[in-house]
Amino acid sequence: MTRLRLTNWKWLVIGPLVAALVLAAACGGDEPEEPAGLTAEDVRSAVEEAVGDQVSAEDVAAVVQEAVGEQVTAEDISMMVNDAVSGIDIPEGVSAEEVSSLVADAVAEIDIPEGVSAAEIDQMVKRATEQAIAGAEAGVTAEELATAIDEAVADAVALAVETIIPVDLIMNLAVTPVAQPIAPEDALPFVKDAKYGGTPPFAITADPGFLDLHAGASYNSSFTVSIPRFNQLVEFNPENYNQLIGELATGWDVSSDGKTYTFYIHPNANWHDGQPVTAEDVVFSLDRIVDPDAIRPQAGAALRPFYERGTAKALDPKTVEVPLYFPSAAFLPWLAFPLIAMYPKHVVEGLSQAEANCCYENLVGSGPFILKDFERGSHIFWEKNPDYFRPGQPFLDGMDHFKILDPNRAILGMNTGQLVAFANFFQSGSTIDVFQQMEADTNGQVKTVEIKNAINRGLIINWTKPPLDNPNVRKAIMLALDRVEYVKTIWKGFGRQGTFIPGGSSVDHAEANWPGWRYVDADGNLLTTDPVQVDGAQKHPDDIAEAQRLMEEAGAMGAELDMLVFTIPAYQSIGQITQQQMKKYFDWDVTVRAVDLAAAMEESFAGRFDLYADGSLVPLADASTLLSQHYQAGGGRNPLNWFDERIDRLGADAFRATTNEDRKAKYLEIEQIFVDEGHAQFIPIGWFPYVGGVNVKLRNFNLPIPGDVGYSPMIVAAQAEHWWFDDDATGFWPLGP
Amino acid sequence: MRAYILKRLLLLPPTVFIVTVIVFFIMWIVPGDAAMMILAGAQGESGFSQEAVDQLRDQLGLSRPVYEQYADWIWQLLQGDLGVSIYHGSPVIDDLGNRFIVTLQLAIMAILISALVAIPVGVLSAVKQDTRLDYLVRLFTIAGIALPSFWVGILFLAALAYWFNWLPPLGYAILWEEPLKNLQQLIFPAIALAYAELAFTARITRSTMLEVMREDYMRTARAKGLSELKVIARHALRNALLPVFTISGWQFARLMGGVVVIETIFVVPGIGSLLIEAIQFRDYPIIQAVMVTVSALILGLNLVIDLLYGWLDPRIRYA
Repeated sequence: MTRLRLTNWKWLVIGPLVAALVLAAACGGDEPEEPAGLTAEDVRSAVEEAVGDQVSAEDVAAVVQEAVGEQVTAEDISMMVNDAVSGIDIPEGVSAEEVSSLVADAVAEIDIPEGVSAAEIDQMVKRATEQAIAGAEAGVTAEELATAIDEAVADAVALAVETIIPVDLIMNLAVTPVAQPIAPEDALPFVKDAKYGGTPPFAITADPGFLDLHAGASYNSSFTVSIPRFNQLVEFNPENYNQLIGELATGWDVSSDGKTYTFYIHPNANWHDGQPVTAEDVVFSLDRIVDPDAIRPQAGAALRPFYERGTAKALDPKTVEVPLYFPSAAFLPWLAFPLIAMYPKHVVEGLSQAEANCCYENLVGSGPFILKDFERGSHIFWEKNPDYFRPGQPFLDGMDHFKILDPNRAILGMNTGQLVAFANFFQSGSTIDVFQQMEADTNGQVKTVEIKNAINRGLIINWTKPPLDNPNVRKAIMLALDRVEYVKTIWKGFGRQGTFIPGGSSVDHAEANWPGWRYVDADGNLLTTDPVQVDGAQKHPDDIAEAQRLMEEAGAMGAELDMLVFTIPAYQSIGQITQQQMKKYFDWDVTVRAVDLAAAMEESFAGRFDLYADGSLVPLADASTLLSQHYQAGGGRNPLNWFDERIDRLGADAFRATTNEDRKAKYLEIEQIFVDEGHAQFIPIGWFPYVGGVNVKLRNFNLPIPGDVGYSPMIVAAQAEHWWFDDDATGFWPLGP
Repeated sequence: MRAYILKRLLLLPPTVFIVTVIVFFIMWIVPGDAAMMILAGAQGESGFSQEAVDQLRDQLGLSRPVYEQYADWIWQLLQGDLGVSIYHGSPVIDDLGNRFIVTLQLAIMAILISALVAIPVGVLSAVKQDTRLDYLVRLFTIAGIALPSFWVGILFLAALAYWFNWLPPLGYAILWEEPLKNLQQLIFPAIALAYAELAFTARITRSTMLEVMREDYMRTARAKGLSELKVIARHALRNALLPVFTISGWQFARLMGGVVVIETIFVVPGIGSLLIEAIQFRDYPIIQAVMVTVSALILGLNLVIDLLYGWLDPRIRYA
């Protein structure tokens, strides 16, 4: 039985509606004297009035039924329903909890099939409830409604099992609009007890380079100084990373062909200089990001595939229309990425690129915090934006970011309570044991947080130089690598075997049976469970034999190779383990050369290496991001521009696919090519968590949900507007165990 | 004398110039450039394409021949402009100004602490030669020379955190604005830096004191009936301090090396931590600016010491 998650924001629209009906039913049609003061008819007419002449609630139900018949997804349905019911005023005095508990009881009776996640159930229940609402006559009793809900939920579950949506794929079609800005007292129930005030101290380990997010941004260092300051049009829902909600946009419409988005800008959103955020600002920002004459290494790379410069239009001061080249499920998630920050036209238009890059005073944002003072090498001081457009937020008076280059000093600071967290929470150079030690040292005052599978590590192979230019030699390495040894030794078992496409996110993995990934237990039986968690798991002997045969055949036994690694402990360990494994299997003499980051990058682009330990953060838990980074020419982690036309073609097809089945099929095909041929320039070693520590005084830091992958949870976690500070909090965790 | 000063002053610019040339070309030989670091981020977290790097290099002027870059830089410097940082684009002088003051304060504090401890300890050790006290002092000073200052610094921090659950406050504080916070921040790094220096100074003081105390005039002074304190303070110490004073210029240069690491450990926003980061990001305008400032400072200080030395020791002045 999968545990339900009923804190979804959508309940705020749907829940009270149901509750109103229940209350109305209980009134039995008498003169309304109850708190809500509404009859079912009132609600019904409210729905119709809000929806206008578009559709009625009955129409919605009909659409739902029809749509279900055509095997559309739960997401589609919820979109339609949400569209229909958006804009309804929620009656006072009805709590979302009342409705939630009613529905929860109904759902609790049902056996939820395996492989269906809580998020999916959430969707189903929502849909079922909507059907129940639509079907409910005025004057039904609460019991009758409950029964109706019961039945509808059962139907929905039965249906959903047929048209199952893997939660991992929801990211790719998460286009659920929010009807209205989230008011913290309603929409974020966990914020109800929030305290105001406080200016907690954070550590930052690196200063950003260019301050213009569009121009030259790296994820960690640039986001720290920009996330509190700017907004995007949309953001990841802080309570469910697999959804997108409006940030500067209050909502959006998608044209029927999926190629045109219309965003509605929040009426109260202002820049820090007091000017309103307008549609013109959005058009200006989007055009600035994709400007072909400007250097836009990250932001441009994210947006250029979708959007052509000069095509967005301001329909009115608060409405903007954005056409795309093609309908794509990946557009909105990228739009939620902090790189796609909205800038004020009246300020930024007159700036040169150099002025935008250099000095914080030159840029103006709309975010929850105002940057007050930025002294490179020392600190960044933030002050609350008193006019932030989300009512009640932010909770903190400010934040003090202190630049601490030496992570050991920062950890001491966390241990003594001098710091509450790293400003970006997570340290990609650290392994989890460091933070677990911190948790032990502080009796739980500092908690370890991790985002699983956010980092991948692997070997970049110089495919232009003998003997590695021979695809069979590369395949032999792929077969022989003992990935489990890396995971156990370097990351103490916190991680899993590396795969070509984000682990557990976009496709199902069958790696337990892949040659090169297979493991056997002490008795020689093939392991079907995660070999990282099995003591004494051994590489499958057939794989080693095949690897050695290929290597013999290529005449490459006993070669001498040069391996490049960064001077970061984890990478140096990768070097050592690779050295040992290559010696053991192929009698190779690998010389490990540790250089600093800048040097390693230049050496790798110049091709002065045979093996190169590399890896990346996975910005979105989507197969396309990893594919373009490692396996397509011009990719960010493909220094020698390896390519395979089949992969390029399949990748492009997958990127433009409109159904998830299509996407999934294409990615599986790509993966199969890699596994069969083993010819790629990047051989994955492992997926590892992104880890950090947070003092429990910092409340409402959104813990990654177990099983979450990728980088987006980190972005959500870094949304400072949700945090509040409780100086008395000790040794317990705000969001449960 | 005037000619001597003039000659020394005239030698200053060419020396600084040679330093800049050496540093510039070392940075040029070492692989890596700021364009890649801007794109990748401090932890190498973001990927980028060769095309993006080339574009950014063009924009930053990094694709020009290295002698051209150098010529531009030196031409700007001659006009009194230290240029802008490649990595983050703001004027170098903004970074350097405040941070230079911090480092200078740290260095002065370290030298003062070092002198205040080293000289009495060195004298005591010489006067009580081969006693238990002498052995203790020698152990203490040998340890100071042997232990790198960053290790001492880490031990300090660990001890403060462990026993007092306290750490020096964070953030930039100027002496005359927030004196207490400033001293809380700088006293421990100053002590850590001073330890290595004072160990050295104490040993020099001890050995020159031992030498001086065997001189004939010491016996004469004692024979005159002066108290032992006066003999040591006036006759022995004053003569013994000359070599100590001579090496202090060199010590200052050494201190600058220690500052780079100590500032990083103690989170002191001085030029040492600035330099570390600038090297990490291959931000050569900042590296150059720091090197020019520090080398000019060291050369200037040595000049002043040489001049003072002549003033302190009449034998040199009249020679």
